[in-house]
Amino acid sequence: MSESLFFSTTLWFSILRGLQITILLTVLSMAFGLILGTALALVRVYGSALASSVAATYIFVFRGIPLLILLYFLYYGAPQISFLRTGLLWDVLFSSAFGTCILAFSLNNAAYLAEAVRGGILTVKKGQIEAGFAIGLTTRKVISRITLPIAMRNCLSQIGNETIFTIKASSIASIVTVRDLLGQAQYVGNIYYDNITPLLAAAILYLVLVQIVERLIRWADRALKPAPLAGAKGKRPNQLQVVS
Amino acid sequence: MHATLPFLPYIVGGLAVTILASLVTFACAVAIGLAATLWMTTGHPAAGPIVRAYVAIFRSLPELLCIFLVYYGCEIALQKAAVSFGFRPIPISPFLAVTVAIGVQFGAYSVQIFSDAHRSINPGLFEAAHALGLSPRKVTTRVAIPLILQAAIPGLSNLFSVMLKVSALASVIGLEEVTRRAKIVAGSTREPFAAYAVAVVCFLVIAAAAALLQARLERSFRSTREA
Amino acid sequence: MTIWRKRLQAAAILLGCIIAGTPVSAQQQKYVVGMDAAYPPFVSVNSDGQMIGFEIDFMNALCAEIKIQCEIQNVPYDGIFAALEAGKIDVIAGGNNITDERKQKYLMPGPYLRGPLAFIVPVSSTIDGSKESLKGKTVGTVGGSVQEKYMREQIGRETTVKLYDSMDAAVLDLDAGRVDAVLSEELQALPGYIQAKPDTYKLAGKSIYDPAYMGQGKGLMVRKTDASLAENLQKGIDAMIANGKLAEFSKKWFGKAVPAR
Repeated sequence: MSESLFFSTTLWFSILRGLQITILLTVLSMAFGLILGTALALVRVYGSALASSVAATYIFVFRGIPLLILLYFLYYGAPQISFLRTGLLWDVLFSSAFGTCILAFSLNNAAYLAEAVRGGILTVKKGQIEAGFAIGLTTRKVISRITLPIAMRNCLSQIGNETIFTIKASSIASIVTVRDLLGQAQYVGNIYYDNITPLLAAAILYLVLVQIVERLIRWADRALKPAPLAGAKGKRPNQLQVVS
Repeated sequence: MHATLPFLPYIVGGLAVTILASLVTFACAVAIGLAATLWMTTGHPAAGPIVRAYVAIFRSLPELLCIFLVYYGCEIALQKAAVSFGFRPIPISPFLAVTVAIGVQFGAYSVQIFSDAHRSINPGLFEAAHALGLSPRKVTTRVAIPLILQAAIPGLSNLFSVMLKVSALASVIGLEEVTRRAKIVAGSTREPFAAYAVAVVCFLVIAAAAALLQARLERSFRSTREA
Repeated sequence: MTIWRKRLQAAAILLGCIIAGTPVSAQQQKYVVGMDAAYPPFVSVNSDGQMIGFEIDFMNALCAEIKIQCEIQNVPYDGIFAALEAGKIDVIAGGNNITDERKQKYLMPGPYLRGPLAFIVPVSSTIDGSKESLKGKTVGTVGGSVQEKYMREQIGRETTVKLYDSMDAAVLDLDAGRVDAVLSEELQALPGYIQAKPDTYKLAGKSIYDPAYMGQGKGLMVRKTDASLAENLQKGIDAMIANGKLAEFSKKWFGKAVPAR
């Protein structure tokens, strides 16, 4: 490791610029991925046999394809199909490297998050669902008010894991010219012939990012905590509405 | 496409490294995660802080850095030790370095999965086991571990499929697995799409095998639960 | 107790086997040469997984010339400098250009090959490689390379530079129309793209021989502590230039005798 490089402004300036890309890419693709992933998980568990197998196929394929290769095909492969090279889709998505990254990362995240949410749904105890039906809730309400909140809470730390994977995986975007935190670090490393020092600098920023994710997950965990039983000193009227 | 065909055995040959590396690192990660989770549940005062610090640090390190540090860092340390203690330096095999680096690192993720799984289990089951007069060790081996593993299957399957692709990073220290070989072939033949398509097929085949195993495990667990 | 001791012994032996991996041969020192085999015609792999290319022929002949034992390893560029520092490899080959910055950190025996930079453009393009013709255009090249340095220092801010991790990716984006030109080494561009698809690409304008970028030619990289190895390699390169071997290899791989100096 070289101290002069570690403390150089060139290095830190570069990786801070990469940090913006990492954050933007992670936040956007996690948001899209969570929406699509939750939908997929619901279809997989409650959908008709056909819909469920379509969702299962999606999850299988997009979890199976390495993100690097998915991105490569979407960015370099799509323009080889002529009808994709004109029109709205090209202008909005494929003409920009960053847009294509968001697409690829969201598709990939959706598959992983669908599995995580499905795992969460399966851990919801039968009694909790039966209680919902017993008090006369419709299936839809049981799912949205009981199953999903409990399922989400049960798979929260997996969502956290997934967020961290995405933060790390942003470096894959380098292959389509989008340089994230790690991409910038490797780039600086290639200029100064030092593969390791820039990675140490990147590790410090990762440490901060992961801490932020952990805080957010803990906060979400508290927010999704079920209402305390009657008699306990609870002050969460909004949670009690679930039963009303 | 026809320029890539002769390279088919070469790319597919990388599967051995991909499968072996991801299986061994996965086993390593699961063992670490399970051990750490069980230690936490004993309520030992040191367990919480140590496991939390481990998770925080190893989830943050870039995998690439971890591999470099284990492989080159240990190499340099061993060389220095060899000089001062007068023994012949032993080279570390890249495979061992990757197993340690990725296994320890992903152990941190599996701690998360297992502690989630533990939390989703009805505490009454443990109490019942104690009430039956099982020894604490038996409660752990006969009740806690099976239940935790069962609840952790979906999460572990996600983790495995991430690790399958992370094994590609092993190429930086010379282990040629599928992705690296596809990249080499893409550069050599200038047919990147064909080379990567072959790699995709390789990964989907492994994913299919993993999915079959997962479905079987889930089914067998479910039947025992309903029985 | 004895069972445990035996088990422990077995485990220790097993661990030793795993750690040791490959046995060390102490009789004769073997030098390990590392290069990333994804850059034809410099170095690539054939369908048997063997590394081939100008650099392979050159390194084998060079080691024979100075009578040292060499083993060539395929090392990805992302880890190649760490491998050199840690002593896993002793020489980096694969077509690195000699620059002043690189010479500050490593010994660079050479040059053994000298080729210019050139812009690859679609045949219909009007770009001629001048600063004016590139104004407002987007140029793709490989990140961290001398080409990138040339773009930043000689062409300036009015041209957008996009950085790829391989020349192939940059040329794919030229196909997609996301970049207007790709700055490449002529030796790499000619057989790979221009001669392969003469109806699609052409070289724009004059080749660039600026000494600050390509002018010092290509060299090997050796740790500064290995001065005698570097000296040896330099002698070997000089001999191979004198006896015409280098010219022979460049004819074989680049289709013409490329000047070494």
